[in-house]
Amino acid sequence: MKRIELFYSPACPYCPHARELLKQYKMEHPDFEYVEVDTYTEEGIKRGMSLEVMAVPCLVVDDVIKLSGWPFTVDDITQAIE
Amino acid sequence: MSEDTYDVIIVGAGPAGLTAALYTSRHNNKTLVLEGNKVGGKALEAHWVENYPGFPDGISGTELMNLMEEQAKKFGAEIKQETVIGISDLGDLKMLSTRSGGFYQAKSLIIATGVSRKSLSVKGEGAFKGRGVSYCGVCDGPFFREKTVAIVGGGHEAVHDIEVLGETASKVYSIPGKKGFSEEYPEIEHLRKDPKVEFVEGVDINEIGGEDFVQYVKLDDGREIKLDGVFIILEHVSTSGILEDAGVTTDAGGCILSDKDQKTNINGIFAAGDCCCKGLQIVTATGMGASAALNAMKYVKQLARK
Repeated sequence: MKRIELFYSPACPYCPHARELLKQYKMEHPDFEYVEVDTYTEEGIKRGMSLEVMAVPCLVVDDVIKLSGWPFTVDDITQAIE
Repeated sequence: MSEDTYDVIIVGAGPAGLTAALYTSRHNNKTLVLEGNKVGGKALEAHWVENYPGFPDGISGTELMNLMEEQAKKFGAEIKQETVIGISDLGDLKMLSTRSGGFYQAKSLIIATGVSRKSLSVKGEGAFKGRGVSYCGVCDGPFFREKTVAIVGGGHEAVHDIEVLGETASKVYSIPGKKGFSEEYPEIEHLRKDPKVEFVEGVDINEIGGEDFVQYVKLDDGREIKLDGVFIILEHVSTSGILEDAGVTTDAGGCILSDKDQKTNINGIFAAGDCCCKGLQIVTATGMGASAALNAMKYVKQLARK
């Protein structure tokens, strides 16, 4: 099962949109593990930096950065995950 | 004029636009607000607003803007999510068209379109987006803890981000560009004394480079600065092209020129908020929105007496 992580920040104006897109995608494709990571937490920033995340929103699939920084579309997400 | 004609159409639903809508609708002026992006504007990006009067403990930008929207709607303002692509001035009547095919007419207009982010358009910017190139200091700043970064831009937000990044990065270069800082920001004097901050002025960036991640920027005087991140914090008025078509005068940077009553050079067209490039604060935007609304209503009343 693929593990998808969405790194977001509460200060990022684009992140709610990205989270919404991912939630919708998850509803249609329930067959992966989905985790949201808040980069304003110590744990979240450490996890992000260990993967070399440098911008939010950031989509990571099985520890590989696929989409980094806004904007990204549903098609980008589909392509990144599949 | 047809029954569908609005007394006031407000383009933009940030603090200035929503305040203007509150004032005009509360005085029973038929009011429409058109917003191409999110209702709330750039104020939504403010994580915590501590300098808006009436909220001594602060309030999130999102919550503040939700309250402003609710207050404007309460008095009858209509808010539609449509992007304005054309404005025509026909004297007593102003016409607007939107990208989704909408067509509206109004007796007066208030332009409150704010400012939007602009890219630097130099070699390497696109290639390193998300790999050291960022457009939001508060969003991505935590990834640059103990690293060297540059803040590119000379506006209020760029100055704010020098302070934000200065808290966590080991070194911050401020590169306002050849145009320099757009105002004498009081924070700059204090930042010049900060040993972590270095001002690199009178030059533009030519190139952002590196291998997998950003490693340097090249300046147009030949210098190269080694760093880990470049924050591009440039702003511009987003509707200057449309305004030009309508004949509204702007300055070289696209800022709308308005007088103390928020009047533009065209009768019946007013401007308020960040698009006037005065203050760039939520409270100054709401002040300008109220002033524009009061004067637009005065103008509509004068039209009725014709």
